[in-house]
Amino acid sequence: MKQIKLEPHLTRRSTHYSKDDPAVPAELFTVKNDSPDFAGINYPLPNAKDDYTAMLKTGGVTWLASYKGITRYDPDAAFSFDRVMYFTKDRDLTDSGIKAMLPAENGIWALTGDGVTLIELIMMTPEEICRAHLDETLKYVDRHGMVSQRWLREPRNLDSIYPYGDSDNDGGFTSKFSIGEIFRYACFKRDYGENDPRTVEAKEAAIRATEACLLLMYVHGRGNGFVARTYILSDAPTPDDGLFFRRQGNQAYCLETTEAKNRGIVGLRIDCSSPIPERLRHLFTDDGYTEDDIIYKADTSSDEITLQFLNLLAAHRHLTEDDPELDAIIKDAVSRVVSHIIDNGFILTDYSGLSTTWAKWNEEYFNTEDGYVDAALNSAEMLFFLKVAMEITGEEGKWLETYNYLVNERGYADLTTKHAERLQQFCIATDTEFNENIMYGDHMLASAALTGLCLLEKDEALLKKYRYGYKAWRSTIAGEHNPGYDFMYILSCPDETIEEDRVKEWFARHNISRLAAGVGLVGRHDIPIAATKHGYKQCSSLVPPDERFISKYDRDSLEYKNEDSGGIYCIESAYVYNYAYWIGKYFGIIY
Amino acid sequence: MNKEIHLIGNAHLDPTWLWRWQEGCGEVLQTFRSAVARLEEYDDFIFTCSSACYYKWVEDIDPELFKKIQDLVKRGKWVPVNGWWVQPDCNMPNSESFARQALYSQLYYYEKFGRICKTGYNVDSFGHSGMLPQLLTKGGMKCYVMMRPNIRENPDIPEGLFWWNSADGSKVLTYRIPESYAVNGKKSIDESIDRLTDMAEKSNHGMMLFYGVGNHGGGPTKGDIEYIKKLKSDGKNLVFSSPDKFFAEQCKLILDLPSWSDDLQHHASGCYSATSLIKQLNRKAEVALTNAEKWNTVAESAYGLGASTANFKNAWLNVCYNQFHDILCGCSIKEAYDDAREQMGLALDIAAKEENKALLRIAAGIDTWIDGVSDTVFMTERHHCRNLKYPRPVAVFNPLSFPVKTCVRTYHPSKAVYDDKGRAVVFSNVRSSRSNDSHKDTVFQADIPALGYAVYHLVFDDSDIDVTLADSDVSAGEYYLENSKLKVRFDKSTGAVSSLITKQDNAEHICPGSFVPTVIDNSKPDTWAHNIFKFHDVIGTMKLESIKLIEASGARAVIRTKHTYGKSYLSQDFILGTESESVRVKTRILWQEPLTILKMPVTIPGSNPVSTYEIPGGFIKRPCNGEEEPALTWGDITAEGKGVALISNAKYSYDCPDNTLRLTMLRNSIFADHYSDRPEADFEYCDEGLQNFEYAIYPHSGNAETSDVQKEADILNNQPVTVPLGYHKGSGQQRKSFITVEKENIKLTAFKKCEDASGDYIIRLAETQGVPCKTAVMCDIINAGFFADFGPLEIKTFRVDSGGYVTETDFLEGIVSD
Repeated sequence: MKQIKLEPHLTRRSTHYSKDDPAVPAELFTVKNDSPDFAGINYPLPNAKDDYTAMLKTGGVTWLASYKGITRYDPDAAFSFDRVMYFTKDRDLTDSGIKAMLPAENGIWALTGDGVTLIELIMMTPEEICRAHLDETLKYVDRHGMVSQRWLREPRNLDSIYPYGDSDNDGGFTSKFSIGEIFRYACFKRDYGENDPRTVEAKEAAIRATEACLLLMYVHGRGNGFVARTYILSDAPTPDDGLFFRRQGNQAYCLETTEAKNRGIVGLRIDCSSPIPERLRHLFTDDGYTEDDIIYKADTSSDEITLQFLNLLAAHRHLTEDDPELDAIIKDAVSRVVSHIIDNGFILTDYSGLSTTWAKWNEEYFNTEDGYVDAALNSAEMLFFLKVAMEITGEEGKWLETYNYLVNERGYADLTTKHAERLQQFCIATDTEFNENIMYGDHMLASAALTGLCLLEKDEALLKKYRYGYKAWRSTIAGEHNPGYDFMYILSCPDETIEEDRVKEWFARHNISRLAAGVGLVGRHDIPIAATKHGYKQCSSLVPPDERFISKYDRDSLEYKNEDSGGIYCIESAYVYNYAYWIGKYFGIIY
Repeated sequence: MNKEIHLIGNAHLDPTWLWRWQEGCGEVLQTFRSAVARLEEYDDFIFTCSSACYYKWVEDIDPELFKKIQDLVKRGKWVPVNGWWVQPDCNMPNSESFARQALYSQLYYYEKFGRICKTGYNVDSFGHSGMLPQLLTKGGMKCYVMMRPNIRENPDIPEGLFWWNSADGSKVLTYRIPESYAVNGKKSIDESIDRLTDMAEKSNHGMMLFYGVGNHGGGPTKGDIEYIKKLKSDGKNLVFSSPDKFFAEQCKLILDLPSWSDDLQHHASGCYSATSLIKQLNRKAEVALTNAEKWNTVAESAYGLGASTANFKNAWLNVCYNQFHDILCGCSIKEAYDDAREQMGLALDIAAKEENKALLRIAAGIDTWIDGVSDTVFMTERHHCRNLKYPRPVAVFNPLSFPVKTCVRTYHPSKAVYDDKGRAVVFSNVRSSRSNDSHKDTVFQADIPALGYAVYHLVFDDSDIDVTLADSDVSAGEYYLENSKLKVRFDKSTGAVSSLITKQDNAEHICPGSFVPTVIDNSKPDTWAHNIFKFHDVIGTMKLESIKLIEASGARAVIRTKHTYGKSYLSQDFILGTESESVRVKTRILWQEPLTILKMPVTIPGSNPVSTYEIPGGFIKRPCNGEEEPALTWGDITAEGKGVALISNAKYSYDCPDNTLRLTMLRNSIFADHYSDRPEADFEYCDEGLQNFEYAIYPHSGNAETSDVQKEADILNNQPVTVPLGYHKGSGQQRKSFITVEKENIKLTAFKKCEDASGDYIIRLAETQGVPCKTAVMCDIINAGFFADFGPLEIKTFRVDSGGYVTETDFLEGIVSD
């Protein structure tokens, strides 16, 4: 595997001013910019040439203004992906109608209809971007250990975060954040030693995130290996999104939501007598809460379990060596969850003793319309859980017995290879197109499960199947050009290759902040639209991360839209970048 | 439902084979009339028929019948399949041909029937190239029916239903017909049903039975339909159906199907080489039409020329028709090739006229004015309009999407050649094809931008102008040619290339014995070479008659060899151009040896050789097992990081026994000699007589596909065009590119107007090396500049509107909607 060198890179930063701010240079209001001149610019531009209204040349770089945004053209850029950069509202500008431009020390001042923006390009290393993202996440996103995203009361103002919040997939997203932090710690430990302050700080963050994930395995108090989707505390409003139970002594009762009403279970009381391990309680007690303040979310999906298990595998390998207490909790949690799934016929049961909506790994589900296509992923997940259980507990017993049963008698290993075929079969049956049927969130689940299987399986015949199954996902995963996927893939399938320039582009072209502000992607002149016949629109060519909508790993990176998770009223977590960076760094793929 | 036998009533129609196209057309009309009659008689009977060409014939000749068919299609009783013009050969048309097969046919189906064909259907074609899944899906077809090779010819390919994958990731649900495509008569129907029932039971899904009299048309007989109805009423698990219905129903089942990620070969391996005439016409027509349409589109968008979309369509449809498998495969009767020559000739003529019109329109806008030229003053000695006081401007046009540096020719001698910046250019005055006038032409090295032109200035050889000359890297001796890239040595006793050294790494690429023209016995195989997959019975080598150094400096050096065998001769000009990385071989063969094959071998050193071939839409690696392989413009053998490719502008067949790659130059067979049942007769033979073509020898390091082999092949097949100019003022600069594609592994395969008269443009690009990438594409003349992502061997089609905004579409140009 060829190592990829990541070098310091110009990273964009926008600072917005009112027109009367004294920091704004007076010349900005009187300067007359040149008319656009495209001679020598033989490269795609984000706006049609007719749209451009003004031009500023400074330091060999051409800045072109239009009513849609600002284009920076650098003919001598070291990488082709840097030759053109595009700045639009809301990410880079508060208003895309550009009135004037003036050179600034690291960029330009831009006068717009509603204010002034200083656009700067600052040389940063990927590690510095990681740090910026992490600091922002720890300060603004972390919520009693849960790390997904946070809503803002005021646009762009991170200090205006709501004190509460939740995400449907908190457990999964926090797991990925945790994995990034675990590998950061592992890198620092290797590079600087266990006692270096940087290592100590990284370890604290990794442990906190892991504990938060583990808490979801106990927070419900059911004691049966169930896993909660997320938890909130009593001073937070209950989201009308799914099923929530509030703990009250040894019982928990179902809160009123639309879903609960539909199911007729509002007020339903269920057991919550099983204790939360003391080690994990600090996540809420440190903020002055008790068990009775906990509201947890049920109806957990297979997604949560899969990402949780990847996290626990990483934690087991890197955090437990000198932490027997954590080791014991992880072993206990894994044993409980996998036993629960096996004992219940390969489902995760909820309050009723029946399966949750989406946590099913059994053949009965695989033979349903939904499950038929899901079978390739879910069979891989189930085998992955068993492999992780063997790895973490150090035992084989019923884990191996079940694994062998599923592989040899139920054909689960073969099923892992069927993803592309079954999806294509579905497309033919429904006369739909492949791209409009892809569940992009499944990419991260397939990546987790199949990476785990490829790294843990020693049997060559089975390994061959898992790699074949992994490759069946690549035709769509590869198009995301996300190193968080690509690195896992080449670790699992060492004969495969990834695009080096795309890796460099991805790490170089991220914003400093994870404020989910939208961009001016729709209507770009340089990006072809690929529309399915049923109207789903994608970019034909993947736009760099700093010019496309901000999201987690669960969205179509090519989707043709300006904004995803909340815009300027939302701050997303650090995991997207940090997960990829620290895995790549730890395994020596990048340096 | 899941184990039903779907009965596909059809009539296999060969519009040309042992008859000419006129008879085929009549056969289509009769078959369609018969099918309509059967459909009117039997409520549950369904008829399936492929090939848009047939429907067009019927529409033109019998509109009333066509209206009935339209109504039957609407009612689901008549099911058109295969969104292609005919059932083409599926090995030799290039990817653009497959795009046009789909484009014109699917749009026709859409216009006439309100629907496109969702099932590809080539039940008789002689093997199926490895990238067809992509070519099918991008033409709107997710499912495929094929039959050849059969289970005896290749038992490894799954029988019945399977997933067929191509290297770009495309996937089509494919049905390999286990029985005939034309089962008829009670006994055959019974046997087929028994076998298919057994297969359905084992596979746990349904099967298709194709019944109806075929080849020369016909279709299901009343007797067969009655018999099937009886079997149904007797409780047999049968259903009158269509391929569309079959696939849709199978996709509702739990399927556990095998996957196949390779081509589907071999059947009729002799067809890759039989009848050189049609092969050469196909290559010429594909190239000529693609290039002419590019230039027409440039001239339309930037120079006010009218679009010739309809002309190109008509020309392409002639090409599409003659890609019918029994025509392009060279196994039809001789008279069919008289027809093919005329139809392909018409296509070539349209291309030539359109290209000339476009190039002259573009050229007219170039500023070639030289101060001091009061007018286009000329003298008329030597049959030319000449001005001896000033150099003559010549525009050289490159149709490819990458810059090309190669030698070009003009038809008069020169004293010097300069480029648009006034720099001297390497040139030679070489022997012309005429005996009149000066006997000399100018060959000079042109350096032309991507899909663009460059103007050169040629000083007549008898001009008084003082000139400067450029240094050449070319040298030669009696038995060697050399330039800055290559050193080529010849064996004076055999005339063969005996050494081929790349100077960059001082590496020898070939072994002794290479390039000795080898004659092989072809008396056993029939025209198709049914059940024969290797041609190895060597009966001799051609004898060297002469070897002569013809040109030794300037733009190129040339050694000419002449070989004989029996009554035949082979003349080869081995040409090494300045800075060229390949040796071009201009070849003339007069062949008069019945039932023989002529092959040109190259043997390379090294162990574990791999052979690689260009195929439609990509390349494929094959074992070096000596089986005959189909290929487009190049075949390659590589071992231990060094390889040699043989590139041609007319051939489609190679074999590769161990370390030797052999280009099949001709294959002499009796026309339409089926299973070699040969009564006494004074036969005429395909590949009898004179043929001219070029091939090239390209040595390289590394893998074939990531070398420059595709570029070399593209240059050989798409040679620049020189257009002599006058002296005129204009706004056009003397060097201009109309489309640039940033990445070298992405090539432009089409630049055309959209078929829907919207005024939009179509740009089609293809990845050629199996290396995914992102590329920038610039086309200022239509105000377009955009990025495109490509997976390995992916073909992408882009539609550009009047504002330069771009939509990714497919071969159907975004015209078809639900």
